[in-house]
Amino acid sequence: MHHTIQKKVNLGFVEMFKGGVIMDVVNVAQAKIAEKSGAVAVMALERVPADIRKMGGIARMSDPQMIQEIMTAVTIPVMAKVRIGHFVEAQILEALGVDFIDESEVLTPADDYHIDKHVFKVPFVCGCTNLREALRRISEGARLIRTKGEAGTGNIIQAVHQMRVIQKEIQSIQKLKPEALLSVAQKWDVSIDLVQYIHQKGHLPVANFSAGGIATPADAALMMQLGAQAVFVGSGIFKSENPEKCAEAIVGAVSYYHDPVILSKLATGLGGAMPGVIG
Amino acid sequence: MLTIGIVALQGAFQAHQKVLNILGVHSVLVKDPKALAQVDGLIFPGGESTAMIFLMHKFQLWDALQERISQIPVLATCAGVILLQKLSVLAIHVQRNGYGRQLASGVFPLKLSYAGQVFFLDGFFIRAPIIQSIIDPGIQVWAYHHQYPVCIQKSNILATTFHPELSASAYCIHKIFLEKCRQ
Repeated sequence: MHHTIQKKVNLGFVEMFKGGVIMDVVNVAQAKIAEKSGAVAVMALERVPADIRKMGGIARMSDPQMIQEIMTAVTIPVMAKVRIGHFVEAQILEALGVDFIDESEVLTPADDYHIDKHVFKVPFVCGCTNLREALRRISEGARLIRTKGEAGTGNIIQAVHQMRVIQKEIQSIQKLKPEALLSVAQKWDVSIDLVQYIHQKGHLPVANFSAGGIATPADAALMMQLGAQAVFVGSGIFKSENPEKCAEAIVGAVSYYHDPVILSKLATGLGGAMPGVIG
Repeated sequence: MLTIGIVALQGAFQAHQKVLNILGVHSVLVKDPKALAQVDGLIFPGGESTAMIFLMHKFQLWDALQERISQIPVLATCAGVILLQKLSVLAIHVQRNGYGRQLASGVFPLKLSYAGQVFFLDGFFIRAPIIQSIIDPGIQVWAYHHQYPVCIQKSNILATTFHPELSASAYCIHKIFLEKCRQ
């Protein structure tokens, strides 16, 4: 298929996730709970970020067999992670037929440079902490951006901070005179087209989701009110006391993020959230 | 003034709203039964049908939707087709992700026949369902892809397994739907 059509099909796919929750799962049983609880996709990985933090060592792409089992077990899209810059792990996941690849900082980086995502048919999501990183990843071919937050901590502060930073930076670009845009593009090493797009439209050319630290329905709704279009929940669900209830409540909170009455019901009686750490 | 509701629990509701804006039509996002009463037509967007069905049951929308869709024109796309089947308003056999995973998604040229007119459009099929067979003889097929129906109509209901909101060439689907809403 032609490259620009592939791009449109993958950007269209991202529309389907909006207002939804993408949940980290480490086995088939968790994937089924996620699907039943209203997840719009699952992220298949061997260890959730909280365990990666605790256990240390090198975190790599998951065993293809485990990913394959999850792909067979659920009808919702299955995403999987590769190390930053590890284009062979990406080739393997594409061959496996996963629906989305997360080139993720949660795993141990394999290179100082990111993957050239244009050569792949499968869409990629990448993390960012500011506008420059977002635009760099988009120039490399990412079809979806998520703020990184602080994965595995259950602490929302970084996710909030990064979402605000990106919005502030977008606003400052919008205020620039058109002739000042080229210097931004040069300084950030991104194409002038991208900077012009931000200047004109006031938002990223791809969707922006939130990740890293969401542990409660209120956290999820907070990120949606701050402008995220969907959320990734990593350790927050399956490290909580009652994963199924927690998953359902976070799904509800993302759809009804604007409604405090509904949110108060969703936040009630969930048992303990993931214990968390200060990141 | 015409007001179109877009079911906005999850999925491609923004993309549909963008099309309605381009066509100059006022729209509201529908998340609760109260909003349903104010709309002259209803769009079920694509997304994940499992997530939408979960949310509709959890937030008491299921029965309200079932009641309202018998009263006003409805446009359902992709996962929306599965929803209408589950809501028992379209008697069809439908296979989820019938074409396969995202790597099998694509844009396929379609020929659509409606009221003596023919439209040629690009159909965005994204992990799309396949309508394997139609049970209700009252359902008309407006377009096929590889012998499977991809655009069907029954009285006030218009349903496509592809995404008309993702291609300007397919906005004719929205226009036909809006015509019905104005009647």
